[in-house]
Amino acid sequence: MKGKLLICLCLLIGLIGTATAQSSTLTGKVTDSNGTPLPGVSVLVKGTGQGATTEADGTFRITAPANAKIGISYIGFLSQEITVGNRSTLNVTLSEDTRQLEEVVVSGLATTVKRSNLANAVTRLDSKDLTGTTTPVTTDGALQGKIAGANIVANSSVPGGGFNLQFRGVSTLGASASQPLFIVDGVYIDNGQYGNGRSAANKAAAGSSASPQDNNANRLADLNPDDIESVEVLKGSSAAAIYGTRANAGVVIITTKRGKGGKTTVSFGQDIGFSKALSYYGGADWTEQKLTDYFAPGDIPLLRAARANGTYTNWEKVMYGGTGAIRNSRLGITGGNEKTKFYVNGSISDETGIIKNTGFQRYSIRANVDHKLTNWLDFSINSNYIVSNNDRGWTGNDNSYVNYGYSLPYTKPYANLYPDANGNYPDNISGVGENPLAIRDRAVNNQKNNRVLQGFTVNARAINTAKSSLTFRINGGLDYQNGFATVLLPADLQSQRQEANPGFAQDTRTEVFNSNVQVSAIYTHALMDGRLNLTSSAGAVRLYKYLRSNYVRGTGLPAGVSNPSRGKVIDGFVEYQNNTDVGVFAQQDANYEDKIIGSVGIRFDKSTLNSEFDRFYAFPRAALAVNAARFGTWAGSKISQLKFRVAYGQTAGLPTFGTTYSQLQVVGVGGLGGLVPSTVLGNVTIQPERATELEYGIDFGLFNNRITGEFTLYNKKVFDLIQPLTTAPTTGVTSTQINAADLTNRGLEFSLGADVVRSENFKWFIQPIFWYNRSKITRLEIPERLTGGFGATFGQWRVKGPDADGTTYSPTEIVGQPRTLPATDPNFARSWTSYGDAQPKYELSLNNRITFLKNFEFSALLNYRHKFTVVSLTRLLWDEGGNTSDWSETDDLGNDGSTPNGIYRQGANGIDEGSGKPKPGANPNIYSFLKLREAALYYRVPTPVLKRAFGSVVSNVRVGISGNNLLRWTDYTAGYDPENSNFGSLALGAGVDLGSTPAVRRMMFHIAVDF
Amino acid sequence: MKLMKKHTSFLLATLLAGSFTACNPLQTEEVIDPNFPSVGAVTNNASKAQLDALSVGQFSLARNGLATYLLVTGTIGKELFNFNGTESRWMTELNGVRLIDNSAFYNTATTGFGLPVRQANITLAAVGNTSSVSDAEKNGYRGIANTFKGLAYLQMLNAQGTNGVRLNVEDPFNPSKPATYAESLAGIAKFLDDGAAQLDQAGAAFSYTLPSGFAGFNTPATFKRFNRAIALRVAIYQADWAKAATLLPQTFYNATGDLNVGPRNTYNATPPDIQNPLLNTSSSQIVGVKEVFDRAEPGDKRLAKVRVQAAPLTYTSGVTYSTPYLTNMYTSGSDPIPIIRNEELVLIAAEIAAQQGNAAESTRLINIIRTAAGLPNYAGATTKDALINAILKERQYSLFYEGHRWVDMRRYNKLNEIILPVPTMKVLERLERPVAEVNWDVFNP
Repeated sequence: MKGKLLICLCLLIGLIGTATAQSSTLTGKVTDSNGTPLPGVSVLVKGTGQGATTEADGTFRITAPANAKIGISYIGFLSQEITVGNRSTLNVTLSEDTRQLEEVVVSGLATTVKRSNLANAVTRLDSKDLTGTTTPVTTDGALQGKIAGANIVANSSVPGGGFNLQFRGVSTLGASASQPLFIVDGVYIDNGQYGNGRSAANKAAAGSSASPQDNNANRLADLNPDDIESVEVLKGSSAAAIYGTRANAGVVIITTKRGKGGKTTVSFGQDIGFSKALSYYGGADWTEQKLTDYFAPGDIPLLRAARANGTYTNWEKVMYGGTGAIRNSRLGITGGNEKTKFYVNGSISDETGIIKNTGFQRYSIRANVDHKLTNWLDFSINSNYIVSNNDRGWTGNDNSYVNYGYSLPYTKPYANLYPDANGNYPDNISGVGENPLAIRDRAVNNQKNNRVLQGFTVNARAINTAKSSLTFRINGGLDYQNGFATVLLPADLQSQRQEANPGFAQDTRTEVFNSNVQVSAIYTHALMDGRLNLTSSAGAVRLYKYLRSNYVRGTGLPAGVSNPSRGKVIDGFVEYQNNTDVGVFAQQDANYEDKIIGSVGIRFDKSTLNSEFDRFYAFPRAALAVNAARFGTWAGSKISQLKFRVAYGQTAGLPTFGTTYSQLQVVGVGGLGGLVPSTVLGNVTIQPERATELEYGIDFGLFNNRITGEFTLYNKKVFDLIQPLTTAPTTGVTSTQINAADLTNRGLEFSLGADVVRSENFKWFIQPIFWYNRSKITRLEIPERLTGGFGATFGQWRVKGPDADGTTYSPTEIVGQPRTLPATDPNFARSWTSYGDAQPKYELSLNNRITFLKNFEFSALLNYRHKFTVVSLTRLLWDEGGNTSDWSETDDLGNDGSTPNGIYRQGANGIDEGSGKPKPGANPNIYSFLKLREAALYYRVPTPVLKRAFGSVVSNVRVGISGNNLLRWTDYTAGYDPENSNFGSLALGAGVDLGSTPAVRRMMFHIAVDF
Repeated sequence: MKLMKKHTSFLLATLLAGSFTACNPLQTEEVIDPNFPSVGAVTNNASKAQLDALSVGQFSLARNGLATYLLVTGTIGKELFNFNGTESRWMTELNGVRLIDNSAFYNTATTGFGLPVRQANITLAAVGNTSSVSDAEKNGYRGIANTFKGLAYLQMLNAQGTNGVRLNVEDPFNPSKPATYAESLAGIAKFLDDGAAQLDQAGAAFSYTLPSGFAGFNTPATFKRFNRAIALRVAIYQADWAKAATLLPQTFYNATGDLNVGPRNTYNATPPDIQNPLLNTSSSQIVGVKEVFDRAEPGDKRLAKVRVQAAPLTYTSGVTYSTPYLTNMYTSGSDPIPIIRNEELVLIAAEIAAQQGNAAESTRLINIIRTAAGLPNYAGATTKDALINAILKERQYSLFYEGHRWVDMRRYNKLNEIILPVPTMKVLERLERPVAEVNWDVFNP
């Protein structure tokens, strides 16, 4: 919170200038409610532009005319306005702004606005919200459950991230960016998921060069959450319009911590913790009768032997029963003086998974430096170097038994899988093609990344008077990453020995470069004696991105060889992508006495990803906020804030690279090279997907803002959605991308904050957040289609336009077998059974923060997701393998009471007529969950104690314990956890549970010391 | 203030200079596909090298969809099963134990043949719009294209049965509606006849050396024998025995020759070639159906197509089934897969003879096959029906794993005579029309 001081300072600097006559000197001290001095507080003489900031001891000195009004403001605290009268000293106590009304939120590419004047529902999370409770592995993980309107799903429980973020419903049906745009200190950063060939190694998606089934982390994982000062989430087009052509899925603006100036502070933090599986899924008992009736009676001797020898083993517990270790260390130094401020932070995050040989390490060093050359020119430089190393393990879909997520459900407890004395792993028993222990211990699925994030900002104030200012700003930066992924299956693995060319090794390099530069001018002008403030801004943006990816794949590896270039059969692949986007923008903001705040703006964007690469598309926006409580009679009433707001804006989503190309691909046969067309046709008339959003709401504060609330409704319409025109595949063309659909997302977001108890020794802040979104397709000019998943048997996402009678359908509706019409009906083929919607009916979070005995703080975040559909194949694997924990019971919904559930469920299909619920078969089903996402208890050692013990060397010591996903309630029975995605991050088709591993509970001990 | 103004103008000048002198920051250039050549490059005045490459592509695409096709037809015909440990739908849905799906992976048995058809159409269009090659060379390209087009359509039709196929897909956005089964067969015969006529006009040699799998069939005249063999298949599906009898001598039929002669698809694991897709792996074992091989006559050499396992292989996912017979036909990544063999032509000759009432000739031809298999001469009845049944039986073993059993039993309305290895199994009459095919017609009535 304190880091945002810089922004204040920047604004302030311009205002320190000429002195006015008839002034007297005013001195004073600013402290917080505990009496701790606050350095860097802005003290402004209203209407003059004069002011000062407090020193390290909280004192200030300014000259002010008699009877002047003094405004005192500090980020994180409620502002005060005091009439000086004839005082010469002024001591002020600021109270903490628990509702963040004073915080500054981005409102334009070059402008910001106070939250209390904001016309959009922008969620802003500061470092306390993000990492104050517990230490999440990645930034996206830190957002879960904290943002109204966001559906954030973890793809896998393996350390290292992998999240699917959807703000306000779905913004694309798959052909444009499904994930929001991430901007770190003005640098557009890459959040891609890059393939490594794992799904070729295990044949989940044979032959593909990059598949979402590689199950990789999205690269936001590289960013150290601890470096983040604040995250602002522009969820919809009305707030994100200023980001134009890339902003359809929302924008996440990340600001990193900065030096505060003053005394140099050294901060050290250490987390030590562990993780354990939340639940197990298998464990069914095996009997000779079960083998005789349903499996291989030939295995009976094996079962007998295992029972007799005591080697009967629950392999799931062997694989997933481990304990992951969490070790995070960070050392930060901040300090500086009037001219130069710095923040340097080095951190090591090291987390191993519950599965042996999985884990994530991230080494990050960041240096943020701000320097003022003169009183009109300053610059800042932000440098971040990251090395990350991720062992992702072998989970998810598979077609060769390589993934232990797939082989384990079939592995019988009487199998012997432990290596012998020579380290040789035995083959799994007949019918299961691989020993999961051998994969765990011998196969490699590693991804390393080296990454540089470099940002800069230069501000030049050309005019700086009491009434107006003109600032020129150049900012931008680059994001360069060089990823190196290794996949290895040794040739002597059971699954490899039967291959024509046993062994698989792949070395994949992925180089991604993003750069952006923005030039802008900001002109502010005060009219009507400072009651009307106008801000004009305009500028231009240029972005460039390239991706260069290549791999060498070797199969037929000689014994002991892991270098892919030494394989018998070597396959290579190179891919290039590049694009350039250019935009120009202008924006006019007006603020009348903080009562009426309006803003209009427009951005024009072009991109080489569009077929008309040189055409500018326009993205207008407008917003209005009225602070009713500031009008006349409201002042002083119980209603301390009442703001009506409305905002409108447009954004776009770009076609993915290559959409315009009709390719000829290279084939070989009998030593000859040939050309064949791709089954996908390019479209040379493709347009970007465009969205408009109208958002309106009310913000209120009651009883001196002891209770605050934010109520928002939105209607986001996305037009010209790019859809695969699925042609009849027997034509040899399977699809081409066309602009063919519109959809609407409507939703509600409501959050409330209340200081329930505010006594000296006990403070309880509670914050419920409620939100939902409904999506519907309003136009579809292609045939209805199913997408995602593994076919209609297990459930797929249906993209279906409105019926003739006006009935509309959600793009996230899950449908599947059986069909509901008789086979003779002409509509039989499309008469799927509906299994609900992958988007939850609603989501609810409850944030609690309790401070007691002054130095103890307890916080807890509960997150409830109500009734959403999950496509799961996991249970089918366990049922087919005979290992589901309730396999032998006979009580599942619709079962006849005599068939084992595990057999019954394999044939169960459709909706149970009695209960109207989906049967517990291979078909999708509807579930809910409640998770205790985060909980923590911290103790801050009181300052007097520290003084006695360490003198003035140690200024702050905080210790605590915390946990992630500590508790979970769910009615999910089709796998480990309803949060899951075999297919990574997609708008449609994520959230398929297949070959997954247990969700994990993380527990940590923390200590933080400031010197 | 004066100083400030000076700075301002300096700064403004610097900004402007920095932004606009070096290059226009608002200007962008079109990005040409850095990864692949484009289809557009061959449609207008294609060079000989490009036409050769398209024609080679046609040979490569003859392998498209083939593996799925052979496994699907073999499974439905209950001659082989895919013991696929990670995909129980091979055993359940394709055997009628669970509902058949129209959006599942096995759609490839139909849709995989669309691309070879399109390749042929692109080649025919490119040949018609170039002056880079001679007329004879053009007819060579056309003859190859039409032959493979006919073959691909025939395989597609076998999977779809009475659903029929779309005979005109030149414009993928305006394809014809599926023709009836009879119309489809007639249309396929026409493509093949066109190809044969073009091969007649193609001179003595093709413009490039055909892939090695076509050794013996690599001139227009010999390639035409392959074309006529496919046309012969069409004729017997049409039950047009007179036409079949006319076609037979135009093929590479040789009653006294090597039964394995015939063009074949070749494979190689080194990219851009592909490895034989029918190899058994740890998760996908192609097994012979026990009831089929148990009924084989003792000493039948064709039993070598499977290897008897000491411990039976058992499948337990969704369906429980055991068989000791593991297929043994493809063991190396470079094993070729035959397209059509002389053995099939001899059996077709026997079938024509039986249908035309020439029992003696039919029996003689059956015995050629039986002798080659190490079996005694045919001793059964010589009525037409008995002979047809005898031929169907020989075809089951001779053409095992070549995609015939199901099609043969269907064209003789004998699907109900296929032995069900598991009582809950059914024999599907055809695959469902793929969902995208259905949707296209609903959307474009």
